[in-house]
Amino acid sequence: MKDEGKFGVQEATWLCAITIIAKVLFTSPAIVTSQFGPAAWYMSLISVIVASVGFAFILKLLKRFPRRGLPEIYELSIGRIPGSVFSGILCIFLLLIVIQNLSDFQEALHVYTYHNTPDWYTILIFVICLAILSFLGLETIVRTAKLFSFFVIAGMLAVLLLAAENYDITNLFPILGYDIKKNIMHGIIRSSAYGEVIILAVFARSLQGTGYVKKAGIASLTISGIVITLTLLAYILTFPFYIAEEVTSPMYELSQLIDFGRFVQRIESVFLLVWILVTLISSTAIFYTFISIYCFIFRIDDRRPIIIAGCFITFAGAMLQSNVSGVVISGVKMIRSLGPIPFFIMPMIALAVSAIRKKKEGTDDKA
Amino acid sequence: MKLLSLAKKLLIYREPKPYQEFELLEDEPFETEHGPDEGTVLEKTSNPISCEEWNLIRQKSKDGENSSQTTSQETSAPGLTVSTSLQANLQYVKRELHSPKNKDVIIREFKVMNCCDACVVYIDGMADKNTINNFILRQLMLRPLPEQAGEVCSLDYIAENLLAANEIQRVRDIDAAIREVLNGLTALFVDGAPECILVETRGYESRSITEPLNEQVVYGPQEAFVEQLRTNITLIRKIIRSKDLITEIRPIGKGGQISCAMLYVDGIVNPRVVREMKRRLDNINVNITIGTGIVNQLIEERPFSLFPQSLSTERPDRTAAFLMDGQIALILEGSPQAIIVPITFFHLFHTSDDSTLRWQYGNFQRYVRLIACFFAIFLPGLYLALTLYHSEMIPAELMSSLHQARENVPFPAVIEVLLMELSFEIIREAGVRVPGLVGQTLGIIGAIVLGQAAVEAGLVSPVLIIIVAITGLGNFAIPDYRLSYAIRISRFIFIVLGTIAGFYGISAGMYVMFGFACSLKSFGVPYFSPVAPKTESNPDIVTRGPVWTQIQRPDFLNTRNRRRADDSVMGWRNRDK
Repeated sequence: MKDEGKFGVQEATWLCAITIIAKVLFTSPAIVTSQFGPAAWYMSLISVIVASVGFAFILKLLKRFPRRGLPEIYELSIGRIPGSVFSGILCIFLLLIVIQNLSDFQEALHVYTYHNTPDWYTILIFVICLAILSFLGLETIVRTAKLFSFFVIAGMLAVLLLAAENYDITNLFPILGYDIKKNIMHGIIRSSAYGEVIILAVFARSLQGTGYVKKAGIASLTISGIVITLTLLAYILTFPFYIAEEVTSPMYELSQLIDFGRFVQRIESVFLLVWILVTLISSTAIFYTFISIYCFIFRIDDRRPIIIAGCFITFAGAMLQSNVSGVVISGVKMIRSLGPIPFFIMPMIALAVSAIRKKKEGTDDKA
Repeated sequence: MKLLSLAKKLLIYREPKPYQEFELLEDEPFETEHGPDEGTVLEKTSNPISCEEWNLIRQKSKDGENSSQTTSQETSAPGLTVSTSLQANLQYVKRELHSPKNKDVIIREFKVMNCCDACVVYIDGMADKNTINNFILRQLMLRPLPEQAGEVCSLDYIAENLLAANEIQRVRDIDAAIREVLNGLTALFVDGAPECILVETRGYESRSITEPLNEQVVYGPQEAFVEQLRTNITLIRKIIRSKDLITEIRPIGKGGQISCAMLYVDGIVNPRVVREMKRRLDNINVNITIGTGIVNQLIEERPFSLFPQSLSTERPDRTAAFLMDGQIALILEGSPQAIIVPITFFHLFHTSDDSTLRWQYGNFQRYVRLIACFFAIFLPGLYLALTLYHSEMIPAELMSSLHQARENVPFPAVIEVLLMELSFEIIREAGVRVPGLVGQTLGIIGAIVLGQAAVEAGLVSPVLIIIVAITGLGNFAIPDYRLSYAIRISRFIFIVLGTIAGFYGISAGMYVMFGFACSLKSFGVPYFSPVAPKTESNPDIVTRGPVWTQIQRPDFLNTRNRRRADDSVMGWRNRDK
């Protein structure tokens, strides 16, 4: 795999955490609430625990092939063609997530702020940003994520704290939701919400050792788990669950409710900056991972033409979504339910096959 | 044809050219990077040495003790050697310096102690005539003939017994000698000698040391660099009295017209940065008189970037502080600034006052500066985004007064903002071009009169005048002149983005702008270190910690000695001591 440059644990942690957190800004919380009712907030904890277990298997696989990225490991463990198929599935899935994120973002923007702005215009600006940052490379993307991390976390915490006056503890009940068994089952499936942690495995070479991948993975899952759980909790505390499932962007709605005197009110546009930045960082990270895997499968050294082509596909894909409900039904639900396959099950298969075939490559000093 | 080639460039796929970017990585050991020449220098370095001594030691180590003494310039640009025939040398020098057409060139022929033919060559005005008359010509012409008359004409005898100058060099390369003559040195050619002697006679006019013009401080030293290289080096040596402060003088540009002093502290600086700097300086091929500004542009890795990747300072104390942190300073003959590399974005935000004042005051200043910078970049863009796209965010009373103020304005908000911003930029530019006090007055009067008149004429709203004024003031608060230019240009970009897409446009612009900035490196150091990437550093990034906490050198500079001070900076707190 092409050398992508080097970056540290903190940059990797924030890139991964922001990528995971992004989905809490869109329609996902509404879908979760519709499925689990008031139990949605701790369902996220079940998902993060399951995702951590899945990540542990990925780490096991990485340890067998130190200093190699996941697509390389697939080829080494299960053979060139099956490995490429595995990488190809992950690659397509990542592209679908980018398209989904962008459609989700565009629809939310359309609903709340830019009512009259044409869809193509919003999507075009987004895709241009995506292309520019992808041209600049992975090092730049992770550094930008780290740079904006303070701003993002401060913005999100500010919204959660300032909206505290609207919290109503009775909204948490019935605390077990609709059905505890169903909740746990869905919680396991929804672990794919944290599946973006696989980005760390794809760029394991840049992190200079499985030990660093482990640190970054655990830290990013912890941060994103806390932020998503807190956001869902704040959301359920503010809106009764039967209303909550109707809201397109809960964080935006929360920020709209902030009201301190006549001057500090309707400050949701400030939150808009955080929202846009998080979505841009998240989508760029996933898009670049898609490009990187694609170029590896077809052994392409120069990524520039692929980035341009990828941007066209993303633009076209995002334009295909007709409305919010289309985005929710075809996109978010499908991605969440199928997500565990490319994110966790495929690495597990590769691990099992490599163990059976006794495929292993040295040891990692830093592991 | 041009159009055709442009279309070809756009449409036809071309492989990217392989380019190895210079990186300052942590896991590369110093030993392997440390060249043998520098190792030798380390052994031989004792008390502070002069620039010429340093160069001579380097040369000796390369050529061996038996070879003749030549300057480093010779190795960098080998040319014709000095002939043993004085007439041949004179002919060559005259031809090269266009003498006698060029009246600045003085060639004085004489006999050394009435014994052998010789001549001195210097440039009128560049060399000190008093030194030439009293310590070269008088010494060579008026001394009594010694008993061993045969030795008189040997350069060894002249150099050791006759020339009463504190600094001399013997060179073989006649082109190098001519270069030094153009720098103000005097060349002595003796008939029969295969070398010439260069005597340090630089004595051109220069202004005296004054207060800094752009980096004034309330506390701390009030000295600034001047146009004379020697004086500037001395100003730094006055502060860093260390045997390890190295000054390397290198000619830069085609023909080596300009002398450039590269200063660093051996034992602290990363040798790879020094080597990279030398590589870049040695490969500058311009045939123009270059100054700090041009060299700055020529050594930067990404010249298309808006953000500067090196820092210019006119303060010797600041330069000394950078050197002690493991950075390199470049000082050019004729330029009253030093170039500092590697730097980060945060260095461009710091001032000397931050350190000299108590840490609480320094921090307060920094925060004010940061807010000023935010206003300077984003305020007009945010104003447009708010009024055009997000008016729900403006409280009702403010909204009402904004609308009332804009009632009579015929232009759209964006034209209004662009008009005022452009007018402000024109006033500023005019103020700089008009000399002295008139310029300052013009700026103030221009801004007041123009603003007042524009409001009264109903061309712009009073609110906008406030916004443009705050933006302008914010820009003046940015300590680095080149960064302030970057911010001025960025402001216009954000005005456009705020107009076309409101907060969305501004966020997208921020993302791309900071993305570009994050991709920058200054001599291998990422631009947003130590924040992105995160590296260890003193608490001196945005917030500055107290002086006693500043015990480490920045990790991102990969210095050879990471510690700046002991753990117990305030050892007196320990009662046992």
